[in-house]
Amino acid sequence: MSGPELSISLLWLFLFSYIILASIEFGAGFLLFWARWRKWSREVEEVIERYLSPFWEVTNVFLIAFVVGLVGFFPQSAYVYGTILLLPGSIALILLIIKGTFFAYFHYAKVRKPLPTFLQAITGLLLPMVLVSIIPVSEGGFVTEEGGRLVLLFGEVLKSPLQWSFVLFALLSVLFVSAVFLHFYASRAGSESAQAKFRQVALNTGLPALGAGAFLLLPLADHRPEHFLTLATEYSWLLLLSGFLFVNAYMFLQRGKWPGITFVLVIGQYAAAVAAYGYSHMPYLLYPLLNINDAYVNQTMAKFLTWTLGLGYLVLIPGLLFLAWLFLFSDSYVKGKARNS
Amino acid sequence: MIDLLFSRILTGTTLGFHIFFATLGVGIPVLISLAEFIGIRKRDPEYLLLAKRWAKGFVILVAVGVVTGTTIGFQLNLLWPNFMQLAGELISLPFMMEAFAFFLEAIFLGIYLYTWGRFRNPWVHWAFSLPVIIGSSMSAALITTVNAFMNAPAGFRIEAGKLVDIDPLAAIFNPATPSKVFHVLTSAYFTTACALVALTAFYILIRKKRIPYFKKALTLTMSFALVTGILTAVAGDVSAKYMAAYNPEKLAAAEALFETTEGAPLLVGGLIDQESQEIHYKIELPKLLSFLSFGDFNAEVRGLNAFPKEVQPPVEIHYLFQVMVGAGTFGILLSLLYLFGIWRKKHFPQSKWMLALAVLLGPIGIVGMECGWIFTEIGRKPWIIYGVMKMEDAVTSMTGIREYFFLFVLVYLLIAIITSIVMIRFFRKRPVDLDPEYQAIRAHEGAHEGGISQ
Ligand code: HDD
Ligand code: HEM
Ligand code: HEM
Repeated sequence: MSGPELSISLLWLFLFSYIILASIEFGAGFLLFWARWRKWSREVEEVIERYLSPFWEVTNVFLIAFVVGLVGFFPQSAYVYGTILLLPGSIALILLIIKGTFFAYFHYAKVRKPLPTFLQAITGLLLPMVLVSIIPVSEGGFVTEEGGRLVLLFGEVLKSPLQWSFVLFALLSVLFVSAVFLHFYASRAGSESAQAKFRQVALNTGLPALGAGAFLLLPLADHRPEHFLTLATEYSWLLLLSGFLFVNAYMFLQRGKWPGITFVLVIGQYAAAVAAYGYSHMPYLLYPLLNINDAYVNQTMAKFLTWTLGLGYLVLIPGLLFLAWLFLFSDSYVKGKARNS
Repeated sequence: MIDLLFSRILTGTTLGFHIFFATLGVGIPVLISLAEFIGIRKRDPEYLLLAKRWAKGFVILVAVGVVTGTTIGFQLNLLWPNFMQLAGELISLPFMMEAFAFFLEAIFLGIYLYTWGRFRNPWVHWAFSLPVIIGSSMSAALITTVNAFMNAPAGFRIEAGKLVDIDPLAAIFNPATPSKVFHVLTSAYFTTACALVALTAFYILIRKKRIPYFKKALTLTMSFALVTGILTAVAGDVSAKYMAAYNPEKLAAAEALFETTEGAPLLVGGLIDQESQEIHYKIELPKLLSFLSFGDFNAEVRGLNAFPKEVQPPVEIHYLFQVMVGAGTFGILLSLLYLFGIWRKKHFPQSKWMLALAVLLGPIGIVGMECGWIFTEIGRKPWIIYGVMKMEDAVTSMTGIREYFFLFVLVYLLIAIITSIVMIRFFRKRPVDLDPEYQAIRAHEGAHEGGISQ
C-alpha cells in the first residue's frame, strides 16, 4: 500500500467510527423525541439516556480527528474543500451548534420542555442530510473555476438526483442503525418494552434503508459512469457481502434473536458498503480536482503524522474498550442500578 | 477588502467565544480534582459535594466548549484555506496530537462523571480526574504551539517558493512555545479560579447564608487564584522577554513606545494621541520597561517609528495589554487581602464589600483573558504567520463573509443567552442547602455533635 493509500485508510477508520457513533446518536436523539410524542413507556427514554450521556463527547472527537487528519495528510484538501464548502459547511456548523447545545441542555441540565427536545431531534436528522452532501460534491461536476477561483454550484447540487438519493439514504440509515443498536442496548438492560419498540423501528426502516442504498447506484451510473463501473465490477464482492450481512441481520431482527450479533452484522454491512464506495472512489478526494497522490503532504510530515496516529490508536483503543466495559457491558450500569449522580 | 475584514472579525468572534468555554474547561477539572482530593484526605464530605456540584455545571460548559471548538476547527478551513494548506504542511502535527488529547479527556470525563460512588476505594474515582486534567491541559498546550508557530515560525525554509528542510518538531518547539504555553496554562487556571471565586461569593451574597460549605469553597478558590495569579504574572514577564527578542514591534505597540529609548519607562494607563504621538494622563515608572524586557535598566528598547509603516501593529493594543495586566494585579491583590484576613481571623473576609469585590473578580478575570488574546492576535497584524504569510494572502476567495458573520453572531448570542438561563435555572432549582446530599451530611454531623446543627 502506498503512503497516501495507507493514510487515507487510517482516516477512513475515524470517519467510519464517526458514521456509526453519530448515526446512533442522531437517531437516538430523534427516537427520544418520538418516544415522548407517541407516549411510549418511560423505559424507552431511560435506555436512550443512559447510553448517550457518557458517549456523546467521544463521538464528536472522531469527527475532529478525521478533519484534522485530512488537513494534515492532504493539505490541499483544506484549500479546495475549505473554499467550496463555505456555504454548506456553515449550515452544517450552525446545525451542529444547535444540536450540541440542546443535547447538553437535555441531558446535563435536565431541560425536558417539548421545544428543546424537538430541536435536538430535528437538527439530529438534518445534520446527516447536510453532511452527506459532501459525497455527491466529491463526485465532481458541481465545482467550476471562475477567474482562477473555485466556485461550488450549490443550486446544481440541490437539483441533482444524486444528492437527494444520498439524503434519503442517510436519513433512513441513521434511524436503522440507531434502532438496531438501541435494540441491543435495551436487551442488555433487560427492558422488554423498550426492546420491542426499537425492534419495530429497526424492522420498519431496515428494508427502505437497504433499498435507498441500492438505488444510489442509478443516479451514480448517470452522474459518473466510470465510478459506477469500478464499484459494480471490482468491488461488487464487497457490495454482495454487505447485502448478505444485512439479510442475516434482518432475519435475526424478525425473530428477535441475538441482538448483539445483529448489531455487529449491521456494522459489518455498513463497513463493507462504505469500503466499496470509498475504494472505488480512489484516488480522488474530489473528482477530478483533488487526488490523494498530488494532495499528499511532504514526506517528513507524513512520517510524523503516521507515527502519531499509530501511537494515538494505542492509547485510544484501550480507552474506548474501558469506557465500553464500564458503560456498555457493566450490568449494574446498564440496568440502572449503579448509583450515579 | 470587506471580506478580509469580516473574515478576521468572524474568526476573532468564534475564537473569543470558544476561549471562554475552553479556558474554564482547562481550569475547572483541576479545581474539581483538588476539592475531591481534600475531601478524601480530610474525610470532609462537604468538599466532595463541592466537587460534585462543580462537575455538574462543568459538563454543560464542556459541551458548549466542544461545540464551539468544532466550529473553529471547520471555520479556520472555510475562512483561511490558504493558511490551512500551508499549516497542513508545517504544523499539522500538534493538531493531530490534540485530537488524541481530546479523546483522553472525553473518555475519562464520561467515566469520571458517571462513576461517583461506584468504587469502594474513593481514590480510584479521584484518579480518573487525572487523565481529564492531562487531556484538557495538553490540548490547550498543543493548540498554543500552533499559535506560537504563527508568531515565531520555525522548522522550515523557503527556497525559490518551495518549502524545504521541514522539521515538524522544530516547528512545535519554536521560540514562542515555552513562554506562550506557560502563560496560557497558568492564565487559564487563574481565570477559572476567578470565575469560581465570583460564583461562590455571589451565592453567599444572595442567599445571605454564611454556611461553612461556602467558606470552604471561597478559601479554596481564593488560594488557588493567588498561586496561579502569581504564576501568570511570572509567565507574562517571560512572554514579554520573548516579545522583546522576537516581535519587538509588538512590544513597542503594547507599551505605546514611539521613539527608540535607552532606559525606557513602563507606562501605566495613558490615552494615546496618534497624531502627535503623545501619551496623555500616564504614569511612568522610570527605566522599568528596559528592565522587564532585557533585564537591564539601561537597555535600548526600539520604538514603533523604528519599523516600516506597513508592519507596525496598531498601537491601540496598548489598552488591551493594560486591561490584561490590570486584571492580574487586581486578582493577586484581592486574594492576598482575603487570605490575610482569614489567616488573622478577621471579620472582613465575610463582609459585604469583600464579597462584592470577589463577585467582580469573575468578569474581570475573564475580560483580562479575552483582552490578552485579542491583544496578541491583533498585534500580529499584518501577518497571519509572522514574516511568512500576510492575512490578505491567506483569506478565502469567497465573498459575502459579512452575512456569515451576522448569522454566526446571532447563533452565538442565542447560545450564550440560553446557556446562561439554563445554568441559572438548573442551580436555582437545586440550592446547596436543599441538596439531599448536603442535608445528609448535616444530619450526620448533627448526630455526632449532640444535635447542634444549622
Ligand atoms: C487573565 C488572564 C491573564 C493575566 C492576568 C495576564 N495575562 Fe498576559 N496573556 C493572557 C492572559 C493573561 C493570554 C490570554 O493567555 C495571552 C494571550 C496569548 C497568549 O499567549 O497568552 C496573554 C499574552 C501576553 C503577552 C503576549 C505574548 C505574545 O504575544 O507572544 C504578554 C507579553 C503578556 N501576556 C504579559 C502579561 C503580564 C506582564 C501580565 C502581568 C500580570 C499578564 N500578562 C497577565
Ligand atoms: C482562543 C483564543 C484566541 C482568541 C480569542 C483569538 C482572537 C483572535 C482575534 C481577535 C483575531 C482577529 C485579529 C485581527 O483582526 O487582526 C484573530 C485572528 C486569527 N487567529 Fe486568533 N485568537 C485565539 C487563538 C488562536 C489560535 C490558537 C490560533 C491558531 C491555531 C488562531 C488563529 C487565528 C487566525 C488564523 C486568525 C486570522 C488571521 C489574523 O488575523 O491573523 N487564533 N484571533
Ligand atoms: C485555533 C484555535 C483553536 C481550535 C482550532 C480549537 C479546536 C477545538 C475543538 C475542535 C474542540 C472540540 C474538541 C472535542 O470535540 O472534544 C475544542 C475544545 C477545546 N479547546 Fe479549543 N481550539 C482552539 C483554541 C483553543 C485554545 C487557545 C485553547 C486553550 C487555551 C483551547 C482549549 C480547548 C479545550 C480545553 C477544549 C475542550 C473543551 C472541553 O472538553 O472542556 N482551544 N477546541
